[in-house]
Amino acid sequence: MQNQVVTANRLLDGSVVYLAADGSWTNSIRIANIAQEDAAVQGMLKSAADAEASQEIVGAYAIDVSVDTSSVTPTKYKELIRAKGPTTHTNFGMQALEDPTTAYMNGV
Amino acid sequence: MPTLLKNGSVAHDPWTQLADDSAIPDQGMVLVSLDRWQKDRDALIESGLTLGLQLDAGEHPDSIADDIGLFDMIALVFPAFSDGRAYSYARLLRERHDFVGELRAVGDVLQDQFMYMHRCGFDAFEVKKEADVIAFADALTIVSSAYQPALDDRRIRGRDASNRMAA
Amino acid sequence: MYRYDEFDRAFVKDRVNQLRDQVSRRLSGGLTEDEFKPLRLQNGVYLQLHAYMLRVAIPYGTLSSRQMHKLAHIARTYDKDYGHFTTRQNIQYNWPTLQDIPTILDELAEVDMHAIQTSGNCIRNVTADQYAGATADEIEDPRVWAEIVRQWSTLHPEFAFLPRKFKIAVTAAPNDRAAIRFHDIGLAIVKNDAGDVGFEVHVGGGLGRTPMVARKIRDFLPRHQLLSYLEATLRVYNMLGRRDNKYKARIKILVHETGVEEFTRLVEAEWSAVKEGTIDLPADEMERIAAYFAPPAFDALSNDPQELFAARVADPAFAAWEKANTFTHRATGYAIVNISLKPTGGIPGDATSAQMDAIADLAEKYSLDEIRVTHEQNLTLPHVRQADLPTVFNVLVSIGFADANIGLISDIICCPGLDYCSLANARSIPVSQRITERFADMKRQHDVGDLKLKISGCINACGHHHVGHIGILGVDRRGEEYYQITLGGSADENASIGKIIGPAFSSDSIVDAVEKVVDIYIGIRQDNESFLDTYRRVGLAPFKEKLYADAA
Repeated sequence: MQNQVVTANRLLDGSVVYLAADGSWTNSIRIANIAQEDAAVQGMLKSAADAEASQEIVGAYAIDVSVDTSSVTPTKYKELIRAKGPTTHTNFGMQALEDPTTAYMNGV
Repeated sequence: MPTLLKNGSVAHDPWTQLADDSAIPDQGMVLVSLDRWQKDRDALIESGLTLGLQLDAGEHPDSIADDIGLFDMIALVFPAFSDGRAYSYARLLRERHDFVGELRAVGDVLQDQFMYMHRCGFDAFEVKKEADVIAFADALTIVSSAYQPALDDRRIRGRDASNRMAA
Repeated sequence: MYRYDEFDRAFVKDRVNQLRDQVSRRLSGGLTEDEFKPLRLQNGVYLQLHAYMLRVAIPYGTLSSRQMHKLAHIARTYDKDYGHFTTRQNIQYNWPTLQDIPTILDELAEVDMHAIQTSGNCIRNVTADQYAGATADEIEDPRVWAEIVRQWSTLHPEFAFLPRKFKIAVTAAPNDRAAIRFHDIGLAIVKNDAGDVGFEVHVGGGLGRTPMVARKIRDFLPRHQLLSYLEATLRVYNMLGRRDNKYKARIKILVHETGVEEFTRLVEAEWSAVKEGTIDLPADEMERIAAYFAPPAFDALSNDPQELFAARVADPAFAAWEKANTFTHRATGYAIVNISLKPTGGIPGDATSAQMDAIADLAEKYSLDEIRVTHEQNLTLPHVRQADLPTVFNVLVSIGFADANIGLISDIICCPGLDYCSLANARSIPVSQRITERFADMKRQHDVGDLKLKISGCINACGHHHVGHIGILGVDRRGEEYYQITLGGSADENASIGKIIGPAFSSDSIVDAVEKVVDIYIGIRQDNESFLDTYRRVGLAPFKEKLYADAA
């Protein structure tokens, strides 16, 4: 199984969030909890269901990521955009807080 | 069990739903489905019982247009609150077929739709959530005026000062 | 323009309180997301890729300077200092928080604005010709009827939960600038032989996955019976429209599957009962609303005043802009000014708060305090004195909105695409930016001439690619962004749906492909043919053949 993280939107501000190891929801995919087995993903999705029921997040689902020592990168381009922010406004979203030399998949 | 709200107050529900395959009882106020009505119309009329009809979404009131006067209550089902067909059915029953009995909203009935339902002619509601029962009176007038005449008597834009619909 | 009175204000205030209560119940668990979603949508609140999105209603695209200043203030205070003007004459903000939305709506209410029914399965903003009230070629101002329909449709209790969204547009001029034939109901104001004013009624147009041109179901509807006819049509749709499949739920599918004759019969039968009722407006109410749209008192001026001559000579950029971006006004000495929100390399339809404020000031000083939003993501100042055109131009230059490209290839309609939208398959805005950069040479653009290019990032077609002379549809091919080209669409009174030219192009090659299509046109055009003229004369084949001729 490909590495996965669980993502959702925060109810209050709609921002993109990821489930971290401590059960909190973070905007930064870098500290998202990585699941390497299906059982772990299911556990995370159950955690997400609880967070949805307590009005913290909305619409959680699992996504594939590739992981190396310095980054967690979603496989799907749409999820990369969710993680970083719009390519049209590089001063918006998480990308504005990170290394500005980080390139997008398609290089635009 | 959902709570019945009738004319704005919690009410005891005197109606019993007659299952499609149950025998017609000797007495009572029975609510039948359209299927049952179409199969056993004569027997039900002869029974002398007080009759009610439940229409599902997709069951157009025109199909029982000639029988409307036989029913003391008509229940219209909202299978999901987003299925808005019953709003049109309700208006047709009231405005086209002059139905004067109890018009009840059943199914996925939430406080955020009370105002629309009331304006379309519903006067009874089967409500699942306690909070919605409590909110009923406020929900009816949460927007207190309107731009188009309907079946209620709120203030309408463009109609005469007495709020009656223009002749 | 329509002015709110205490009735309208109380209504909007109540509505904001209703939404505030719903947000509060959502945050405290009294409403699930499934229960809340249709309610928030009916107040224009989407949850998109990065954040919530709020779509604010600008009824038939008309607003005052005061309202535009407020939109700028909201962008500055609650968002990231910009807004986007949409293909349905509204504005949307991409970064509000759910918590702030009731407060934003309070602020909008202060200037008689709201976000009612800008989304959801209900009747949406009624759109109209952006030149309404300013152009000589209309029978009467279609906005009178847009306002009447707006009021009738607002919180209409029977039509709050339709099978799907419902869009109505009104036009009153022979050249349809409101794309009525691609709306669920399109209304064309016409005169019958007796000289009475009424409506030609078109039903079942639309884009999306199954583009269709609307069918005319009535040649002439007496105008005072418009509401009863709409009521009958909506009732038929509400009861019979499909609810089993979201992609087959628009009225266009109902018309198509029922057949236009039977559909018309159903509407006319329902109408014969409804019109005896009380839904049609009393005559005095019709007149009250119409009075708001009486033409302003134009001054008696002459065409081509001295200031204009001088400016044309002194500033060729001004002359080019005047030629491309202004339109003939009904009153001598005046002009309609189109503000292009399509600068080279820019994001189509976006404006910063500073730009909005500058445009508001221009409107107040030079356009009798009125602004219009066009369905092509531009703005219009409807009533500008010709003598003031040079001044207006200079202000537009200073804010970066003076590109002389209205109706040209860089005047692109473009959806938000994968950068913003959770439905998208590919990005659309970067493609638009690159195309405008490729065609940055204005001489070249003018040589190419009228060319409506429209880009959608997915099959939902919010960028209207089906009705582009050149349309581009972004698709996902094995995880990569690819772009399909269509040719020959048109949204005006000669309505047509574009045809796919051939295999899709990669992100790297799409701009070259578009340029090639344009070069092919230039190579085969005759006399003063526009791109669309040439396409309609020669068809797809020559374009297809030459475009793919040296495909590696």
